[in-house]
Amino acid sequence: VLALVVPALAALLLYARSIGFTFVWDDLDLVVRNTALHEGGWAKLLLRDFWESTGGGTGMWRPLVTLSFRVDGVLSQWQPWAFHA
Amino acid sequence: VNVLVHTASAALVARLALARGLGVRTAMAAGLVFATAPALAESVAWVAGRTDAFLVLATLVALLAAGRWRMSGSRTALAAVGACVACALLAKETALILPLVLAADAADAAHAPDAAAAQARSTGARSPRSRASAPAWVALVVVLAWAGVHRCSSPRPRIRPRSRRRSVLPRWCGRIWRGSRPGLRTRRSCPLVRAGGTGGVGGMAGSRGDGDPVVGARAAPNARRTADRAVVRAAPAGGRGVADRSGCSIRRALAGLPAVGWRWRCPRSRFAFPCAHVR
Repeated sequence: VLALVVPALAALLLYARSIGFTFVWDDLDLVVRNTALHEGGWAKLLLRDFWESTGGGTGMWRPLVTLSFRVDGVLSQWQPWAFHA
Repeated sequence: VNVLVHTASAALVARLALARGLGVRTAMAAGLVFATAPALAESVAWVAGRTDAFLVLATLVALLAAGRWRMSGSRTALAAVGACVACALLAKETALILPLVLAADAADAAHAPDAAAAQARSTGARSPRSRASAPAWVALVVVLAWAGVHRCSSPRPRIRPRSRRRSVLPRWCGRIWRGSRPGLRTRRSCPLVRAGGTGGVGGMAGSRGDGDPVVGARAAPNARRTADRAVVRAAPAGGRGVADRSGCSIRRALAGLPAVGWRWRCPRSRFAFPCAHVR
């Protein structure tokens, strides 16, 4: 058990500070300004191009990440700490 | 979520090391190295980097499930491998290599059996080697299914690539290839010269055409006319002709080569021709 707990604690302590960070760079397009993430339907959201909200699709399809963004936002009222934590 | 995912991944790295038969200290060190690796800072501290964190987590769980499959032959473990590969693919496309990773893991287990495989042998279960590759095959099936779904349902990129193929040669040196028709354009028919040359063509249309031997002397007449129009539209009046700029002595020396089947392609345009100055 110690072999598992020590690395986990190290990771948690090392990145605990990032929980207080805000959205930066692509976070703004992917989360903050992504209207489909805030308002669109689930099916449409999960079928969208991952980078479509940045102004140009790239053919990348990452519905699991998009789904996690929406779940985080809905549960935390779109507060950045939930995304970082 | 990013920090939690990274925390879980660090613990799973140590768990995987233990499952491979390493000692407690070695497993702990492996987990610590993963937890504190600076290269992972972007994936953890940046929300948009969550894709990598998810990919790593799914990969580690898939490797652990593959080990469980080798140990017990549980179909649940094999299904878990498939589910993890699917989750990894839905998080980042790099997961396409997971079948190879699992195959390498199976080969490693076959040559240096881990604790799970050793236990399976001691309990008289089926040969671990015979089923070691099953997770890799499952992952391959999942990847192929994902590729089919992705091709059929995912949105197409809006950004068209500027060039289909790029020449490996520098722009200034042009390109030679074997042609089938010896006919050369005359200077009057050269659209670049007629349009007064272009600097813009060299930057845009020229870059699109570099390395594309289809559009040129071998191309269909319609395609070539389209290329001509594109170049003429892009050419600012009064500029210096690209063909003139690239009409060096080497080109003149090569003027006789069509007789032996060689052609010279104007290096900064999207269609093949030796412009008239060659002759």
